Amino acid sequence: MRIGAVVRAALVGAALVLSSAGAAPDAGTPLTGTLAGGGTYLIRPGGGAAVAAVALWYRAPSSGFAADAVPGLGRLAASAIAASKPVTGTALSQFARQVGGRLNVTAYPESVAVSVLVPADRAADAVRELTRSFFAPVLTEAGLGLARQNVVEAGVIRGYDHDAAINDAIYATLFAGGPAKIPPYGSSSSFATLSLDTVRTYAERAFRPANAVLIVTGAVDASVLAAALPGREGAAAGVETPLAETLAGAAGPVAAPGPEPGFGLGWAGPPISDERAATAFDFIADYLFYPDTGAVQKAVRNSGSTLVGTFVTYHDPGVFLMTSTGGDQVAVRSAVDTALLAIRRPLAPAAFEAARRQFVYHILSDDETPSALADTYGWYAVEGNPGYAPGEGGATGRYLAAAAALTPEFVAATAAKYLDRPGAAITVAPAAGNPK
Amino acid sequence: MLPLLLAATLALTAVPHAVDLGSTKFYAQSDAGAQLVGLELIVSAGTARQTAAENGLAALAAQTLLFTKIDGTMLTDRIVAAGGSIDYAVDPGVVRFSLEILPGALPAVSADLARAIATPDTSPATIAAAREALGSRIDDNERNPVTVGIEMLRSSYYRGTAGAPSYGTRASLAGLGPADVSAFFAAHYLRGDAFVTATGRVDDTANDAVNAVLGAFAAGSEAPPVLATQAFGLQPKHLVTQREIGVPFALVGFAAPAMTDPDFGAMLVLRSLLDDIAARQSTTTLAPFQRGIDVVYAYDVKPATFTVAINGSQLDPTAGLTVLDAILKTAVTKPLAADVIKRYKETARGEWALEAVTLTDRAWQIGAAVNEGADPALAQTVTAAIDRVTPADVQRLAKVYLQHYTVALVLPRRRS
Repeated sequence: MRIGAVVRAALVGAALVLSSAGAAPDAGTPLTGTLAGGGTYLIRPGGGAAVAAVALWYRAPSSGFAADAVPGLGRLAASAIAASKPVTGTALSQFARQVGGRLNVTAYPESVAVSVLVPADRAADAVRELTRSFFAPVLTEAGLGLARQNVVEAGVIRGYDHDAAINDAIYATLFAGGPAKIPPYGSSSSFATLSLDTVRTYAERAFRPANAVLIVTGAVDASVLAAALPGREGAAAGVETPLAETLAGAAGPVAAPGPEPGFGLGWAGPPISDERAATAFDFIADYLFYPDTGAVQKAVRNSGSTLVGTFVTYHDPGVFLMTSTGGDQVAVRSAVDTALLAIRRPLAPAAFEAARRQFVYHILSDDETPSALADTYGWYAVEGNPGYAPGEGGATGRYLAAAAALTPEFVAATAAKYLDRPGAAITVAPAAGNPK
Repeated sequence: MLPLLLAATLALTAVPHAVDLGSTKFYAQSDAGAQLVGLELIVSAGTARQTAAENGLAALAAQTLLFTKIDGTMLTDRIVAAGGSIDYAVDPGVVRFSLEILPGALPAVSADLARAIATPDTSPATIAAAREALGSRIDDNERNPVTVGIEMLRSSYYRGTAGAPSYGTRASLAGLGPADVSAFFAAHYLRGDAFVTATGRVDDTANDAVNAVLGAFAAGSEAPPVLATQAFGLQPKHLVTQREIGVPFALVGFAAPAMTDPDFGAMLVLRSLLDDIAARQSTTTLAPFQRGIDVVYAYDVKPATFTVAINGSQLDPTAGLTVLDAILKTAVTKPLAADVIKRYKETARGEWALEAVTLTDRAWQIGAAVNEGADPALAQTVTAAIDRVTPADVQRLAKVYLQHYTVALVLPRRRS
């Protein structure tokens, strides 16, 4: 679809919204449902600050749908749309800036998200602007140019993050094929020859209304839904289905380049549909690696290293991974190996209960803000299990119920089940003469 | 649409208010559906309470409190095991302890905190551990050029120990021991000067917790510290230091109206204007470290400061200072056009709404108002104050506050 056609579709959508804007909000609007143009919405009102987070999440490989992967394409396309000024109105990025809000674009191997945090009294405007921008995307050369510059800069900044390079190596080693093998960040070289049409083709498929999950959290009610545009005519129906991820199987340790010593370990974990096992792995990651309070973090506090460990709840499989850089890597590796052996045995009851309380606290605290909550809902929705999102259902929701049902024996057995399988091992040893 | 949204907001979140607990000072804002409670304990024991020879003592006392052993386990570890976290910040006037916790754990944790306040562990071993933990915080601050520059400007602005570094220095801490910490607790951790704010799941359990915590302080009160200042722009106008950083930073310090000042709303509009005019184009909201010019407005301390930080990785500091100078001259010489001020008032309103979102930040914001003698709901009146700002207000503020400044330069030093 050419720009003119997209703009016409956007104007049709705007007219539809204007015609319904004066209607009284339907007090009975359910908080979860289907958008006019297809796709799903979730509205989750909450107390707290008078702010609202509005997000659109899409299941879409961020390296593109084509056989030739373009790392970072999803981030580039979403950023370009956010920066492109339509014939009428303002670019989404300008709207966010004008209202004192914050706009964020995130990309993962199998998903892309764009979110804005705004004052609560601008929530409906944010819903309108976000759906207008993405359901009938307008892409301009100027917008793409700015996005290209920003995304390349983000990649450069990420280049200084030594853990990120190991993280990418873990995924590349663990998977033989599928989106997870390709990092969601691009480089100036991968974007140099990318045309506006290529980006538009990706955007029109990835960001079509039927593939969207619209999430609104914070000081809002269901009436904000009236501001959502239905989208453009002719957009494809249906949602993207998860692409197959192929595990690589057994592999020896992989040496990776880097400016300082480090290592990384990764395993395929339970899928998001196995709620009990996935929660167990979240618990394990929290117990061992949560900043400051994790058992391994405390053991290596004076090592001078940076240690990160997490479980990522993907559709199938999940990924349990940790990275370490700098400082006394011998001490860190020893502590990690010891902890990963010990976690295969049940924790003592008192220690387990204390660890569970910490885990639940971290889950609730990490999702305390509307932005974080919207991200969590979006993630779990596009990965295929929205009802399992930690914030869903409050204290009696499925996630916290699964946490409450964990036992030391189940956690140990789940750890052994997955960690005894072949994983990825990355080592970084700087070349001689490197300053570090 | 707007009235409905506001109604929904008000139904879910109460207005910050004083809770009647007799002589106990407690201010709360409860949220329907919140699953955590956040408390801020404010004690009139900031750096201004130190003597010149006690640099870092306020922070050492706060850290010692957190490391106090309760039944053989450090208070911080007991709070973590119960399902929560605790931290502190040291200001010129006060020290602020931030506690976030699962509501069910609050009775036990508040009892632990009360015991630590009543009998802080000032043994040499605990003081040594606290000193080491503070050393790590000092090292972290030293690696951050913005923090270094702000500390430099603060020490030039506030007279006496109010301008001392928040955590002292490793050298100054080495000279402080158990007797100093014990004496500081005895002199300044007083019930009459302490209060608590709370957000999130605030119910009767919180009332009991606050009574227990504040009841553990020694009775008494002392006169609030008076923060005297030396105007920015007096000699020396330029402060220079070096750190192991990659690029130079220039920080420009101005005096500013505090949160309780009638001109606060106008200063927020000026902040939005400065933030936007000096900003480079971006598709998404930039993190502070990605911005060429960033503004840090410390309005919770009276007298307040307003710092413009120029990031050498994004903008040559000399060019940045030239840009800033041009903006300020324009702001002083002619009032903003109607459409311009309308735009920046809208931006300022939004930025203020997003200023404090977490439980801890909201509890801090209530505490900042109360500490300056204002209504606990002061933050909720700021939007209306912004709406009343006129172009003449902005021009007047630029003349009053932005004509005199001190520049702190933080320059790279080769790694030793």
